[in-house]
Amino acid sequence: MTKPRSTRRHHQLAMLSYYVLLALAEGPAHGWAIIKRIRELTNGATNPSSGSLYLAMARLEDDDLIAKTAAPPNEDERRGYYKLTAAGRHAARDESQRLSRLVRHARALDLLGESR
Amino acid sequence: MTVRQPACVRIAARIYAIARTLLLPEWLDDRMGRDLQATFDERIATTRSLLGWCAELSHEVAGLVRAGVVARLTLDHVSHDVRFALRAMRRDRAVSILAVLTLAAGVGASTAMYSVVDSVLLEPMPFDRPEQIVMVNPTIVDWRNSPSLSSAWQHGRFSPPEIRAWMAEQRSFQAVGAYFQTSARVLRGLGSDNVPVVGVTDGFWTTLRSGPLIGRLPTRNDDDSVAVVTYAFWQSHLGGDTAAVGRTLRVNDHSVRVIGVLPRDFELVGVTGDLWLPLDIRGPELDNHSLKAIARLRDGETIAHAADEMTRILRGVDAVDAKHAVHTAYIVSPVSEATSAVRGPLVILMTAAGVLLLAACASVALLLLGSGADRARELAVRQALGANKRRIIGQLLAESITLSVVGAAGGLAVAAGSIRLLVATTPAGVPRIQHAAIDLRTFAITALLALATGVLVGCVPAFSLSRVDAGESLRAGATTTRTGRLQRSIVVAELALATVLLVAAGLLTRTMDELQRVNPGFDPRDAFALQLDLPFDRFYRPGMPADSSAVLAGGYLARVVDALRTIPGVSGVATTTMMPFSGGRATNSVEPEGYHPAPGEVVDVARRFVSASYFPILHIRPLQGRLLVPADERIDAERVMIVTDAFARHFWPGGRWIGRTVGLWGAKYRVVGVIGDTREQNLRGDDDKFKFYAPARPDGNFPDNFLLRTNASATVLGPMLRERLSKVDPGIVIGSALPLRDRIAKTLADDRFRMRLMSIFSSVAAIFALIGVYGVTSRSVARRRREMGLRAALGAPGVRITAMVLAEAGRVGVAGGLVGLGIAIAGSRALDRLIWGVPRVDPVTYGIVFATLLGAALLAAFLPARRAGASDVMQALRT
Repeated sequence: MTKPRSTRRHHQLAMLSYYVLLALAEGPAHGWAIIKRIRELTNGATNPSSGSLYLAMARLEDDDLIAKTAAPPNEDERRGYYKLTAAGRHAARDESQRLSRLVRHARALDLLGESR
Repeated sequence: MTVRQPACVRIAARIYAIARTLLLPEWLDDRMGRDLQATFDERIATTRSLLGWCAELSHEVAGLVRAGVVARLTLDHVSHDVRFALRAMRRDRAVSILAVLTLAAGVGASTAMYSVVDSVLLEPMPFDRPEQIVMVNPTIVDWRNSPSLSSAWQHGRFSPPEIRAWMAEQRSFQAVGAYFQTSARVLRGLGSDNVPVVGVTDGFWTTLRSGPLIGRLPTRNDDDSVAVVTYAFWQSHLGGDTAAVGRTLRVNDHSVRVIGVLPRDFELVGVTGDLWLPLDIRGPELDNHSLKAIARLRDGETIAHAADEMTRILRGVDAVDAKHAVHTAYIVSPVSEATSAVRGPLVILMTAAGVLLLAACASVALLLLGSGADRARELAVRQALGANKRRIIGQLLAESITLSVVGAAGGLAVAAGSIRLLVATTPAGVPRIQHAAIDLRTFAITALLALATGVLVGCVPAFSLSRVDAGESLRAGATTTRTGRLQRSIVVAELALATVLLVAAGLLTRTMDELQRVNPGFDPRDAFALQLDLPFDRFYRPGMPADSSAVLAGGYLARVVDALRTIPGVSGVATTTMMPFSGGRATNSVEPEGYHPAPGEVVDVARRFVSASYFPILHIRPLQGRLLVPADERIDAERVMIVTDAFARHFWPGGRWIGRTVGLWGAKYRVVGVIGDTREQNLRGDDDKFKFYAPARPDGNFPDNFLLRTNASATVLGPMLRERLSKVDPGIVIGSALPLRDRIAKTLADDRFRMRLMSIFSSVAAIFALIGVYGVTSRSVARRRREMGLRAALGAPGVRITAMVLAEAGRVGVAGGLVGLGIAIAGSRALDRLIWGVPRVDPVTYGIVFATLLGAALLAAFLPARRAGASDVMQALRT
């Protein structure tokens, strides 16, 4: 059964969803690989459980930001692989720009601790 | 420590799989479960230690819990299911309304009873460390060995010397306080009010550790010219004004200064008073047992040890007056035991309400099962079209949970109304019931009840329906025997529950019947009971000679009697020091001529001082000798008394009763007559067993209870009484005025209340059961139309088919009745303290309940049975 699409839900991406998009921007991946990549990206600060990850991915999939894809050659075919869609790439870019603007602002306020 | 990899991974994978199906909404698990499991498996395989394994597993399961909750809140079908359920409810309106009403009745009754129980029994007392507070009673442990004593001796009272000795020597308590309950006239405007008063020592306040709302509490240095008042009294008599502190009240013609107001929630169960005055316990009277006590245990002190210590101290004091008290031991019981008298009945009523809730659940399950059976085909079609079973079960569960939430909301409304009704109709004497209200806790419990109800109710039809094989249901006329059997079992259960409640109601009704048939030993039919608060104390001022006081008081009493006698319709007036069925007791130790008490026996008999007219007004005739005559009331007449049959038989078993003497207060009284035994405290016969009636003489024992011979009602007599009495003295306060018969009936208020409540519960349960019988029978008839038609076609007469259906209903009825009777017998001991005059397993009650319920069940089945008997062969075969 399809659910009503909420356009507002991803207007501002939840952090975990953003991480998923970042991880998939590097190429198709399966759940465990995504979790490992997120851990690396955040220096281990974010360690999502499978349940949280897949709930976020279910939403992203419902909103067509990610999609199922065939396993790459030489990989286990039984694993579900996901890739970024065009809309997903777009959403990731919007969110990155938003964050970047915020970081620029933070830098102007000398909140990044770079000018020591 | 290394982990044995393969085994651990397998175990973890299994645990995760189970957790997944349990925690995730089904659609999510269907969609992602496989990937989720694969991810988990890979992840758990990377752990290198047992600790890591545990950490990962718990992290992952916690993630499932969160995901499950979030998914349900944000994306789930729950809201969809609820909408669907509401739509289904609208479609099946009659069933839904019936189900909601049924649940509302069940949930409402349980919630109401629970709220009452909560406020009466469970609510902690509004004091610091209430568990340390105890009530202290002297008692005659083996009162049963003294034929003259009643059960009132279990909770005896202290004399002033006893309590002084105990207070001085005890070490088990941090604080002890004595108190004495009475009533007083308080001047208000032109008239006076009769208000309950408690005299307390300063230790009473330190025991409770309570403080005043405003002003201060009395201390050791205050005398009884100061008082603190309750919040309610402050509001009603002092305008709730803070300036009330310092104001002066006229209490029994004395001036009393208000020094403080008690907090609003101040309430000590069993001790009621509007005014609290300092109490003087310096009196010397060893035989004046009127003081009660509370105390606060020291930390770590046990009740048993404190009781031992107290017994030791008091034996020493009592030895001074060996006649009275050497056998007196003492117990110490927690204050919460003050509610023990009402605990049993309340718990039973709450259980009954719980049984009603069960019956309501069964009834709703039946309704849903019935309407579910009608929908079996629809569901079968959906199943055939690919809807999976879990989805259908989920939907059915959502349906019943929605129903029960609506039902619970209704129940909450029912409960709110019922609590108000309960509080208004519960007879006086149930402590703290006026606080009963649906509080948050009770609301939570209602919600829980509703949810449990939903699951309980939802499970039954949901699982039995989903088991229906799609193909089987799709075939026209397919019978679902399993569902039929389930429905019949539920009806049996309903009938059993109804039987249990009906038996309880029946036993209480018969108890009431028996109690009303009790002959109290007098005939109250013409008597009107009037209790006055007469200001005799004004004739006994310090410095007045006792003789002239008595003369003045006697003259005053005569004027009151004369005023009463001249009221139209009143043809006689009697006085007594103790009004029958007023709840009061007055007893004395006496010395019957020639009687030597058995070792360990305490002699204590009920005393009454009455006018000669007392006996004719109550239609009491002598068994031997004569009754009192007016000449006996003269102050110079010989002292005589009338004794009761049991009195005479016990003390003078040899007979020859007339002319014997009885020693009382140092004087000798000659017995001139013997009357039959009377019950003046309660109809159950727990009365002071031996009584004597001596003439009221104007030398001290002034009565303020009057019996008027009249047939007038209180409404007619009331204004006249007020008018006549205020002419004698505007200060006279009417304590109570009502026909003696009503007074007696009032003592049965508790029994009547319990009987009514139980009757309501059982009737509702019976209605549930009968609706069940009707529903199941008519559905079974509808289902078996073809079979009936076939039988008719084969020549079976309609009557036979009707009888067949009836027999089936009869079997269900007999089964339910027998199961119910079995449960009733097994639980009959619980009613022991409530029933009276009927055996616990009363064959009459049991028989009537069984026969009535069976008859009603057959009647309920009769309509559908007749329909079956009239089955049209052709129509039945065509469908």
